[in-house]
Amino acid sequence: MHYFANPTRFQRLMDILRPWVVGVMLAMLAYGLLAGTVFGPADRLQGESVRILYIHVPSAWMAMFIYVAIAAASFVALVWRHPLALIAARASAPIGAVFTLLALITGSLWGKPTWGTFWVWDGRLTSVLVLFFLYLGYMALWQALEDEEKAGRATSILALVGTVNIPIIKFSVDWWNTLHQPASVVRLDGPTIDPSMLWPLLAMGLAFKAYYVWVLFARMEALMDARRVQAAQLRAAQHAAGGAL
Amino acid sequence: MTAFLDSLGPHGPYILGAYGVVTAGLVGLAYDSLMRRKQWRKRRDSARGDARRDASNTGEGS
Repeated sequence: MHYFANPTRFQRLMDILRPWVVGVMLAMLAYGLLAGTVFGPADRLQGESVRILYIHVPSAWMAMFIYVAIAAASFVALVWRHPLALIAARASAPIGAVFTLLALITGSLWGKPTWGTFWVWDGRLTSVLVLFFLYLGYMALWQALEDEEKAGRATSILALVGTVNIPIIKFSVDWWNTLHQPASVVRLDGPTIDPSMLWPLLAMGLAFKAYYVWVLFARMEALMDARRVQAAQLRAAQHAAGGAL
Repeated sequence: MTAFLDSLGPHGPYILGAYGVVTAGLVGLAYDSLMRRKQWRKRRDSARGDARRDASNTGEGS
């Protein structure tokens, strides 16, 4: 893991992986959209509105996956002080926030024709809204603290504390009475969803994961360059101060 | 277009709305990320150029 602590080495790894990641994203997106959204069957009960499944469910998966990734990176940063772990966590937060917002909006647009309402304050919807606020709080904390080391520690602790919300989101449909349907893919006794919908859904899930990696690389590169610029400015200021003395 | 909307049934606007929001969100985020990378790369290269110029002016680079 420490092999990639060197930003130049990590940059090389990103350059190698990027075309593969984009390739997987485009291929999975094409298959998922064609097999699911365009040519997939309509649902016996929900009709055509089931097509929202192929974007809503992967967005919700990504919202939780990215939060767990942020918490894992924060743990690595706190324990091993890995320099790129904090950058990865910080770069992931806006992506996770966007996926959470998309899951909320698409869920709402699916809820209206299915349940007859855009929103209900039940366990699943409320816990996902809490996740969205956790992302906003995490990003706000990074902006609020000027000292990067302090900000890194504070945001890491917030990310780790916030992981308590993830099992609440996952099991909310089992613990509480809710309008939201129970899990139909990630279940101990296997998926209950028909294969004609399952495979395009899994493909869309993989496409969204590849999208996350692609955008994460771009945001990490921006943050690494920002650090280099700050370091160069600091060196120049020290140099100028030394010359003035 | 009308035939396509008709094929989606009465829930067409919700389906199109959901796909529109997701497309706008993901394309917007990717654009913001790539622009950020481009801008910081430019600033990094310019900072490196400044450092090189300063070093050569003070004779450190020679």
